[in-house]
Amino acid sequence: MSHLLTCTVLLPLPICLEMSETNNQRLIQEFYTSFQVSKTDLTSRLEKLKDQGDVSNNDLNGLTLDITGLRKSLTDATVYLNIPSYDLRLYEEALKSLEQSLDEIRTSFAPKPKFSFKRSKPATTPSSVISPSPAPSGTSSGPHPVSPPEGSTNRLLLFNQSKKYLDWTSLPSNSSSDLTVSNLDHCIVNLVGGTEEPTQSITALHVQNLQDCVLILPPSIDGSALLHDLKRCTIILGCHQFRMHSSTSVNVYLSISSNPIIEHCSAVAFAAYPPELSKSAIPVADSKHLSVQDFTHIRATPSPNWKALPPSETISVEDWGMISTIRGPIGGDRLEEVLTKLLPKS
Amino acid sequence: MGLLTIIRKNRQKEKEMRILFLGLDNAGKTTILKKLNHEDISGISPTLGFNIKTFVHRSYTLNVWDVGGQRTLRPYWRNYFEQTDAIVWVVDSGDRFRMKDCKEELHALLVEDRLAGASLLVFANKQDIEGSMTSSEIASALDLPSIKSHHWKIWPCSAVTGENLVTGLNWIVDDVANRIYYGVSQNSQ
Repeated sequence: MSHLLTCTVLLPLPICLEMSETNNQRLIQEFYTSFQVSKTDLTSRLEKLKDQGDVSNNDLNGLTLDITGLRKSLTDATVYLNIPSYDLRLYEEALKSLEQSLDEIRTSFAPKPKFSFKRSKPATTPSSVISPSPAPSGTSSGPHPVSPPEGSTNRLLLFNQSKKYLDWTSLPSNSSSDLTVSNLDHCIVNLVGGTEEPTQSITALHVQNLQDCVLILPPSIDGSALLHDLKRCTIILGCHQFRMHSSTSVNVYLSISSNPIIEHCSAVAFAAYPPELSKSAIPVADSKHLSVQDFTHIRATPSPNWKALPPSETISVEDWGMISTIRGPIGGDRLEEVLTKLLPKS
Repeated sequence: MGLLTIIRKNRQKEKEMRILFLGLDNAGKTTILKKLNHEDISGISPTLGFNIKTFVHRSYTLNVWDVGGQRTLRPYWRNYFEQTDAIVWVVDSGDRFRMKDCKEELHALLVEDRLAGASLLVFANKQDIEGSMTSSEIASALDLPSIKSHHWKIWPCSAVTGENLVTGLNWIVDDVANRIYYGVSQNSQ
């Protein structure tokens, strides 16, 4: 019986064996032609999109599907054909550049969300205003035109700000939730100290697209931190897991019990969470802020993309003291002055 | 005795299932797996590579492969596709920024020949965190209703509290069992 089974599993094999050398050559040739045709087609479509003013989701989705399809046919060809490794590398490179230009188009045409500072209210308020009878939310699957598409709870959101000092007063009170920070430029976010002990707590962190910003967060975020697209920032936090993607020139002061990781990053420096800011940070000796893993450099050699922050570049004790004395909003020159003190020097 | 019967009988003797845990990074794949095994979940680092866990669940031996979800690791996912009975797709329900990424990666998996027929369980994880998307919001964000090629189901869950983890696992084990062991389990019961 086991003999029978082996046969059934290997059924496709005889087909492969029958394929003569010339046959294989012919198939490789055919694959080459079809690959080149799709590549030319995709390149011209990408070019067209780039020149076009606006890009619809349909165009992007179509392209994504086609590029994925091409990637899949290459994978299949690699499995069944004996493609020379040099050619294989060329195919890989061609595909990669297609994927990259699609990514570029996608990011450059991503719709910029409109400015607003959300202090979101429970969803029941608007629904009771519009419909006379309070609609029970029992049928969650049915489309509900009244409720906002997302964020109907007390979410902590900070986004689309420039040259601002933001603290707990900018956020809804009495909530414990995921904190989302996105699209800030020349801002200081300080959620440590300031006024009396905050009643809020942060259970997870999502950060995207910050430039020249300082983010000072408590050392006690229970969940994970996920950061994308930061440029010249200083981040201070304690969390359960730390992941940072596609960022450059970032100084991270971290209190953490697992290995922090970076991916597609450069010029990143790590240091311990400053005990001057909060006493509840993990003792520096136990924190794993220097056990960084660079997923884009999985080799025995040390990663060129990050280093331990040298003491000469570390924020001084006096400056930490200065931060904790800031009360209320600051702006203009004072904000600029504090930013210069805290941001990476490069 | 048909070939299918032989295969079924042979697999039934082993009663093994191969389950693949996939999803974007930060979804909580490793944490769910550790929680299911009653292990400590406090010091888990992001997965560089993969973890294999074998455990017995309701008379079935589950071979679970938990593969890292970082962008640099995703091209390696396909190395694990062979002989997969079920996919568990884990989603960070608070990660609104990347729902589109998440949808694309999932739908790219579903066109894979080697995953054809595998059951699909979607875990909308991190429901313990306030502000997370609900499972019905995630179902539509990931366009799950359009999936016709695989049996699928979505469960809201939390790896931290353990909510719905076993329920979800039960569903997928039953679904695979009904498919693979159908003929034999009918006879033996």
